[in-house]
Amino acid sequence: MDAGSTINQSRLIEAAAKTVGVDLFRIDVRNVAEFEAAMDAARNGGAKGIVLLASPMLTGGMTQLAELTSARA
Amino acid sequence: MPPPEPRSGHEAAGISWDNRWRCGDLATCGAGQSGLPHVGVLRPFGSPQSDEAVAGLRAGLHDLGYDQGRNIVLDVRYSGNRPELLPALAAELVALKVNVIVTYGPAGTKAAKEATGTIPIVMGRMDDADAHGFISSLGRPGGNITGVSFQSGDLATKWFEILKEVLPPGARIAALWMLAARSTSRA
Repeated sequence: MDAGSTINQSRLIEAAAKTVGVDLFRIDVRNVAEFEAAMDAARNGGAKGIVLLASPMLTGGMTQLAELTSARA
Repeated sequence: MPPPEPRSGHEAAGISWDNRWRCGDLATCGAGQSGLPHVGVLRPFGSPQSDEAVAGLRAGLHDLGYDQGRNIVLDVRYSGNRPELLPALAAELVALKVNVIVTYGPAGTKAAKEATGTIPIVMGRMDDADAHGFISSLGRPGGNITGVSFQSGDLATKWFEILKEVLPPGARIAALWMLAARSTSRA
């Protein structure tokens, strides 16, 4: 076990998306340095919304992720 | 110190607050070497120069009347995004005889749990603590662990319902996933 998002989380999120009828795609990140590329991937993938799976890194980086998202809006 | 109310969107991982501070109140806890209540903090991320979580912890303690060096000691250990260091850091906190260990995320909590079965462990931020097996249940966590659990699974449907309301029909949504846990987390 490490400090990342969990398989259980992913399963629950994907099941919830299916239930609600949302077209969800996943973007993997390993560290903060990949945030920018992740936001590029979200934009290039046509994402109109983003959810963060709980992890200390993603939670701690919410401000940065929000700024990166705004810059790509 | 009265137990804090669970915040909106979060659930307390059980209400065994008697387990959280076994000595009842930090001011009367078995004091560490300094004579002051001693809180150990295990951080998988962040650094002493930039750590919103620990800054928030300090602010919360301040609001409750506890300030570093005056009437409480905080010992923070950072693994610098290297989870393999967490067990040694947890053991270090146990050796310091801290009164309580505050953890963030599954790796830190697991390390603390394996390092001690008696020192209270407070999950400062955890997702689905029951699914990880750290607690028996949210209602009755058991053992020496309690804290805050973010129940992603319970909330996910609501997130998507809200997003569907505000986004155009058929809009795609991205889920950011921290890759590190994929091979090792409990499924």
